[in-house]
Amino acid sequence: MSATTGPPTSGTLSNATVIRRTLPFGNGNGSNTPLSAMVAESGDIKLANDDSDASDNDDPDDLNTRTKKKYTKDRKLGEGAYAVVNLGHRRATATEPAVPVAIKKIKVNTEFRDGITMDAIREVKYLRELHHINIIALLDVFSSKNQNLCLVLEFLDSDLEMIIRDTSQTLSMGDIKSWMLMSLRGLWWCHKSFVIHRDIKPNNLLLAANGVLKLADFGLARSFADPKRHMTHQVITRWYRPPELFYGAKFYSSSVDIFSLGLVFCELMLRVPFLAGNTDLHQLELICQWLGTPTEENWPGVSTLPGYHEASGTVVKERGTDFFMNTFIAAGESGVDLLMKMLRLDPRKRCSAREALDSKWFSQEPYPTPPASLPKKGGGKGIEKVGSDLKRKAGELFNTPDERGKKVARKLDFGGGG
Amino acid sequence: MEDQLYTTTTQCKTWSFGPTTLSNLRSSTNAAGVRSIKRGWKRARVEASSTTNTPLATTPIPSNNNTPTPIPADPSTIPDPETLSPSEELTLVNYYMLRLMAMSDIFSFPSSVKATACVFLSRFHLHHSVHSYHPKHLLTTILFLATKTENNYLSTAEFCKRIPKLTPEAVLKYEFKVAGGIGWDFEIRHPLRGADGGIMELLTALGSNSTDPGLQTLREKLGPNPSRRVTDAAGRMKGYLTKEALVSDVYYHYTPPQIFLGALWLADKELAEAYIEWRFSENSTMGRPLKKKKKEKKGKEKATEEETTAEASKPPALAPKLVPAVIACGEMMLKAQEYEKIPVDVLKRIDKKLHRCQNPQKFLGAGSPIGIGNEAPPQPKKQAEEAAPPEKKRKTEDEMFGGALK
Repeated sequence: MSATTGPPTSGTLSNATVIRRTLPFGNGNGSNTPLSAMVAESGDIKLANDDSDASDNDDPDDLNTRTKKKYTKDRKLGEGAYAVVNLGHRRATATEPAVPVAIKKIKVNTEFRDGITMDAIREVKYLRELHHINIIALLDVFSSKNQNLCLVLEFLDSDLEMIIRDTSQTLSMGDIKSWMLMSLRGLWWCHKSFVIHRDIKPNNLLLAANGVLKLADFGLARSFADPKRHMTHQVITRWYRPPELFYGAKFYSSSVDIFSLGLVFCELMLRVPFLAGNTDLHQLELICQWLGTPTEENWPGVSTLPGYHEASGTVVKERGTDFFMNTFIAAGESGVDLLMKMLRLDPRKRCSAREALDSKWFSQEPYPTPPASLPKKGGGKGIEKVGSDLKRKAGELFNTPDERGKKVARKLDFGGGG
Repeated sequence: MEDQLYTTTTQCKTWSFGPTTLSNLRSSTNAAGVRSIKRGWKRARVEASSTTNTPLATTPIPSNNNTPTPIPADPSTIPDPETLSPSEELTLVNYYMLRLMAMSDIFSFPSSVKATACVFLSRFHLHHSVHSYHPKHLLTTILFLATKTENNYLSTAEFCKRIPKLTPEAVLKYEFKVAGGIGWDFEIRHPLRGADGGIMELLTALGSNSTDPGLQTLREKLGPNPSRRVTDAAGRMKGYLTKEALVSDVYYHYTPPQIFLGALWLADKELAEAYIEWRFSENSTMGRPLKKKKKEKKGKEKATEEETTAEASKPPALAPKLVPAVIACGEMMLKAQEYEKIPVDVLKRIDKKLHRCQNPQKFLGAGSPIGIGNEAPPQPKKQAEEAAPPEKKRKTEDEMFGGALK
């Protein structure tokens, strides 16, 4: 729609959609009602509405069924508190071969009695809009017979966390550059579309069989807030959470994602999480200790944040080039420069995704490895792992509490507009 | 010239139409609704002649049953009901949209929630005829869904407190139908943000000491107290954006910035034209390079698509083409005021017609109601699902939002 020409004529954009779009329509039937309930009504039982509207194209149940029938369910990849992930296939059609897909079935949440959960709402809302090679594709949405929401996602067989943890593989700087480049591109598109991901971490960076990296799990994402509207600070998995959120900032920007990705960058080099705090407080201590202590000098206004408290230990100056060069020498000068810009304490000083992409680092040798040549960890184990990534509740590190002890604070403060 | 980002949105890709396409779409949806009424009545007639005892001399449907009937009139002599025309459907939907706005005001929801709910309702009925889905059964569901998609979530318990006799079950019952019915496209691009941004931009520029010639001209055009004039216009503009823009079809035909400018034009023609001239004319002098840089930095919080449109438009002057589009958009909004003036008896007549369409059993003595929210008591499956039986639920809604049109 051009800004100048007024009403578009019924041209290219609209025509295809006019004729009854095959949308994934919701289904509202109560077929899971126990038989006893029917009997209770007694006497009057009819063959429920048999031929009713069966031929009607716009009956939502019918459309939902058609969407559902496009896919087969092959086997379960994993099950968590929040969702079940199945490996499936889109059935072959006359023109297209079968394609593997991941079907994420969002469980009816027993704690959440208010219909479609907020995670699912967010995920659907943003993935319907964001189309980018480095963002996971949402192919369809339908509801199962038990009123569970099913998201049909592009099937991706591994994630960056598996690669990082698999110490049998060496990762070259070209590989790291390539993953960073793809992550930043995905992030750039999110931010350009006014969406903040709010849960960037290695196991949300999924890898396709051809090596292409894709941002996944938009269960915590939100659009940029209107000025003056509060946002919740209870987001992002602890190890990747920026300091402003620990200080309870109510207004923040896409720079939170940049900080998280900066820590992923470190982790790619170190092969262990750079700052792995046991508690929120501990995490903040680690940030102060390793990146520097936020003060009015390096971060004007920080002391006005609601949760700000002066650090207990010694005040560490915000780390400069020397420290980063010592610790992350492998990245080279331009790499370290980029890293520092991503990890600035003051969110206003962090670079944007766009600025990061312009970093010299990406155009210098060693060049980013082409996706197809990147180290892989596909196969059986990869599939199971991604299954568990997809079903995890957003913001959590592990699937079970004892997998590694502490979970990340996760209760969202919906009230103020999370 | 186009805002590239906007062209990737579902609003542009699946929910923008030319006027002809839109009206064809409404006609075909109407036709499908009419068909489902016809089918329902046909079924009811078959039932009337076979299951209930009808006297049959005159019935065309074969039957050998000759017992007397409790029904006074012979069903077969009752004609099929008159169905609604596409424009009657639209009238009804728009009437309920006004009610939806009033409902949102009960909660004092932000305009984004209100506007999103209205767009949901309109889009839903673009593909679903009121013959099958009476809007009165969907209002609370739609409003509640909009609170969630606009990040303004409150629990159903809280939600129901504000509306007498409303139950969480009633709110959620059709949630999947609604969500699926709008194609799961939860993101709505409203002109509200761009409008806020535009007004902010105007006020900032007018308040500055800049001696930019374009700005001087703008100041001169706006009279003695330019800022005051902008603020006044902004108030009226917001009114148009939260009512006329939603009731009319402008969301289907125009981009959010065009709608913003259209509403501004309705609020203050001179101001809108002067603004467009200042911002988009050939020799527009608003210090673009400098300003833009600044904006990119702080602009993160401000999702004004209008900015992007403007950025892309440097060389050729946009203003001469933009103004007619803006005026057309404004005029389309203005027409929507007609919907508020529709006499009650016209609405009542439409609703009555619809009632007859949906309830063949009341006229034929057999068959079952058609469409959602009208689930017949003899359908135990659906009824058992609810805590409140449909009877009660319907009554609730009748009182609050549906039913009798006053």
